[in-house]
Amino acid sequence: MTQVLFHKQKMNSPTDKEKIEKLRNLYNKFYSKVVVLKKRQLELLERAKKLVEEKKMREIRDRIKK
Amino acid sequence: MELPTNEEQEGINKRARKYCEEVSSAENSKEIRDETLKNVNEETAEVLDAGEQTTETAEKLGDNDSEGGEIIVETQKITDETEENRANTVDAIEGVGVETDISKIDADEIEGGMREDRQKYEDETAKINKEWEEKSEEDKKEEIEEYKEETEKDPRVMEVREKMEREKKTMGECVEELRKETKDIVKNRSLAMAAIQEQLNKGANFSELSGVDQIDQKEAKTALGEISRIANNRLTNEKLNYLLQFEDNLGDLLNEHKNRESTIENFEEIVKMIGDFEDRLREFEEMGEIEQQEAREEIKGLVGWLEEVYKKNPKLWKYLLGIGVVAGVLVLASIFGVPVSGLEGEIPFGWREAKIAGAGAAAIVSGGYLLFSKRMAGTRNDLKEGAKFLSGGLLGGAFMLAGYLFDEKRRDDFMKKASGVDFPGWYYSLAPKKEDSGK
Repeated sequence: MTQVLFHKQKMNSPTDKEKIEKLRNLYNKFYSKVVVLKKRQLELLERAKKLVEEKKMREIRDRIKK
Repeated sequence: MELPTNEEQEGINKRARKYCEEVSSAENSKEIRDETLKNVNEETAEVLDAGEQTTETAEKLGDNDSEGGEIIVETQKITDETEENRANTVDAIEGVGVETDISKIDADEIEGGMREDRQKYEDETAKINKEWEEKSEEDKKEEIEEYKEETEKDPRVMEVREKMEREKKTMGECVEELRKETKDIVKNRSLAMAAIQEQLNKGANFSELSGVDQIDQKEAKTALGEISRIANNRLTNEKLNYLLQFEDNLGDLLNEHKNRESTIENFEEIVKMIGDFEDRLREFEEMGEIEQQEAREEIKGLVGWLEEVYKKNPKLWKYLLGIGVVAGVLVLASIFGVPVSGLEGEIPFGWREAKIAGAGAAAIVSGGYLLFSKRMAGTRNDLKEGAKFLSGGLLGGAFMLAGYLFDEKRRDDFMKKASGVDFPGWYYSLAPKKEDSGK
């Protein structure tokens, strides 16, 4: 019901539509940037984890060698 | 209730879609703004959290790790960019003036519209149902068949079917491959085990070997049984195959048990061989880390067990200790032999021979202790044991030195300094008088 009320409100207030459109555009612009940054950050995290894991294995190997 | 026809369903879907679109776009700008801000903050927080995790992880690599340093710098850049992106977006969003005005809403009108929509939908559904009910059973069946046929031809259904077929085929191939592989593994494993068992049995034939007593034979057999047990229970097929590369060496080694010394050497060779085996395992680059780790654990277990065999085999050291004690007694006897034999009032007899025998025995003992202590300490990496044997060696060395120092001239010089009397005066002054001993 609330959504329907808003539907009516939108019809009564045409300028609001433009504002909503502007907000959507802003969010899309933000999101398109943040999604790339997030991907890069997660890749770095994976790389760091892998390096730490490799270091750990190297230490185990060295201990066994000794 | 029967399903609506395709056309009817399409009509219903279209109407529903339109309705949904209208309703979903019916949000006011304030709510949209709040929701947008919330999303911006959440997305930003996710990136920043990932950044913190990355930095913490990279720091574990240590200050000297260049790659870790690069990751931290890169993470900082991403963090800065993310925060900048957030700040710019929030500023822009807050710059959009929003309003929440629900005063103009006519609830009755909305409800009336909804009621109208619903009535339309119900009417249409009732009409379709009525038409369906009026149809004869044959027509109904025919329509259902047609519907089924249409469904069969539907590209979406075809696609799903094809996908299922593909998956089924892949599954079948996988199962077949797995079955074959399992069969090979079992076959290889039993072949490998048979070969190892044969070598172990050959090596276990100690009755023909000279210089090995029953106890040693029993111990050696127990040891071989233990290898067999480990091979049976703890090594996987792949590792067994690798171990088999050393099969000939293992057989040769086990057949060379000619005496105790070589037994010890052979054990060392086995330890070395296990070390080589471990090196070979490193070639298993394609093997998973977990499996490599398991293999190393098994090798460690095997080496540990061999060390236990050393510990349980102290007889050699008992022999050497016995020799040491006898040698010590000989040296002491040689030193004190002069006054003892002097009880009879004769020139010391056997002094030279006793001295040579004592020094020789001491040299053998000390040499033996030093040699074996080094070997054992090196093999077992056990400093305590090494120190113990080294102490024995030093003791033997001290005996040897004593034997060397106490030649006749040095003895006389030493005794003259000690007693102030020339030889043989010091001897007679020290030796008990004949008449005293007769008492």
